[in-house]
Amino acid sequence: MTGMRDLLVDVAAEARPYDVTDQALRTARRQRRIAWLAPVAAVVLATAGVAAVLPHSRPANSTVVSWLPEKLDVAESTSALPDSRLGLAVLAYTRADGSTVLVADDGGHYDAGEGVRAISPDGRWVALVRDGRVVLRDLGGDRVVDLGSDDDTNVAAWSSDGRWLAVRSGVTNHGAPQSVMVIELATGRQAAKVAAGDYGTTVVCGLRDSAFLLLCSDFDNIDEVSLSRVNPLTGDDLGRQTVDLNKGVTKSFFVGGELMPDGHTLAFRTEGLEHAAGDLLTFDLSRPNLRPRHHNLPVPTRDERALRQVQSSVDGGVIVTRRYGQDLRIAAVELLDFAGDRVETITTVRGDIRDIVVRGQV
Amino acid sequence: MRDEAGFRDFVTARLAKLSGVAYLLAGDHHAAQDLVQATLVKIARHWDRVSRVGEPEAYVRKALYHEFISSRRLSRRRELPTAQQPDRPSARDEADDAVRRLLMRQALAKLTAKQRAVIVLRFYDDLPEAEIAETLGCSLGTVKSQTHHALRRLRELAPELADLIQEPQEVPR
Repeated sequence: MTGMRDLLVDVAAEARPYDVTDQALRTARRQRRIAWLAPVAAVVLATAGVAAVLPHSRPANSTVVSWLPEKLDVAESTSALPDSRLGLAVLAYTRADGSTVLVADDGGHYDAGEGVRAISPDGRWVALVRDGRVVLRDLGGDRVVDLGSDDDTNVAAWSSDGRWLAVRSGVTNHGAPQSVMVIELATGRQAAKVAAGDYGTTVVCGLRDSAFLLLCSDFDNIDEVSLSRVNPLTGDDLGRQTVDLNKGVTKSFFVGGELMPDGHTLAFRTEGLEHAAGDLLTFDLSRPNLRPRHHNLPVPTRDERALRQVQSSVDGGVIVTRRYGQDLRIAAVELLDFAGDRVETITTVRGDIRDIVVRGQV
Repeated sequence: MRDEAGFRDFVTARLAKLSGVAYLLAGDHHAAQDLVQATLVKIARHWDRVSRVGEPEAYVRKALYHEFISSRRLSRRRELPTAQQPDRPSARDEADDAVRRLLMRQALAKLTAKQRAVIVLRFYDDLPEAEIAETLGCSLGTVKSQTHHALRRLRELAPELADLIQEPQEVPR
């Protein structure tokens, strides 16, 4: 087969050196940053047929997402975001031109300026970008808290009781020690600043009220993720656990995690080494043996290029967006109910929406 | 990424080979460049671990081929079959190297993604069947049958190259 090989070598020699190293590194850095911003905002391509997809109808357990509208139409015009009391935020969306719009529970669509980074689970607080800085805006009043530069500040977790916010800011050098600010929302004051492992290997996976800050560290062992609980107000170590991602399944890497509102279920996003599909795993931290439970999102089949993306967690499941087309615009907001691994449509999107931030998302 | 310099060195040393394989698989420069970039993004994201656990070459090879096959799967429905076979070059041109390369490229483009991957791994990367099976995540039998079907299809598509396209003899290493 020397002739065949020689011919293939000749064809390969027509290739140019596709030196896209810089672009690849930039994209990888951006993806890493997105993983920080949205620990469970995962693109999940999963095996079709494992989870059922129901036609559009308000799901039986829709109370957990009753704040989401049944339809979302892209606004042709928006109002300026008032400085005074507004109500509660429902979601924010990014249009095709890159502009961001905040939707409030009064049905109004407001110009959200440079972007929305996070919305609190109760919709009262919104982390907005203004003049390159992340600011926390109280929609129930007029308080504005500066959190830091958008370049190195990440809203890391909201506490489920609505009292606290964990914010990572400062160093972005891989391996450098990092800290997390704990903000008391009622006053806007920094209640504590605690050590939170190293940048790049440790992420904040959740804030269980004032009880503990959950840190997830992904060290040398590719199968294990170390979980440590830290007192958010004192920084005291409250104990450690280890979870094995790959018990009986294909090797996958930890990408991000989020403590769910029940305070004891931890949802992990993973990415496979040998396949594009990732898995969504949950662990019950209240049990002595941390065994992963796998949840699969079916790949949408109606569109030629479609996928689902996890946005945020709610009681008993996660909110996902269904995307389609070359630009992966959003077609619907859905709920993956962990009880039956069913995907149900909550909000039908009409118009060109490229991204969305819902309550509880960071 | 902790060792960005190490990643750059690794890519620089292998860029020519990586580009050649991508071109063979993708069939044109734009698609090949996209394939290389998508592969490098995947490698960059996991570089610290990939370089630590060893065998980065094997990981990169897997990432490239899996990226290629999955990207073809996504775009498959967008590819419309051509109504007519393109005109074949005249007999006089067949002796020309450029024409043979063109014929091979056109023939490769008409194989399925997996068949193309098997052909490039077997005859360009020169891997034994067992390693091809490991790279593509399939059985040895699948590699054998895919190779057989791919070669037969290549001979049909490019009969001018039939003398070059023969069943391989697996040589124990």
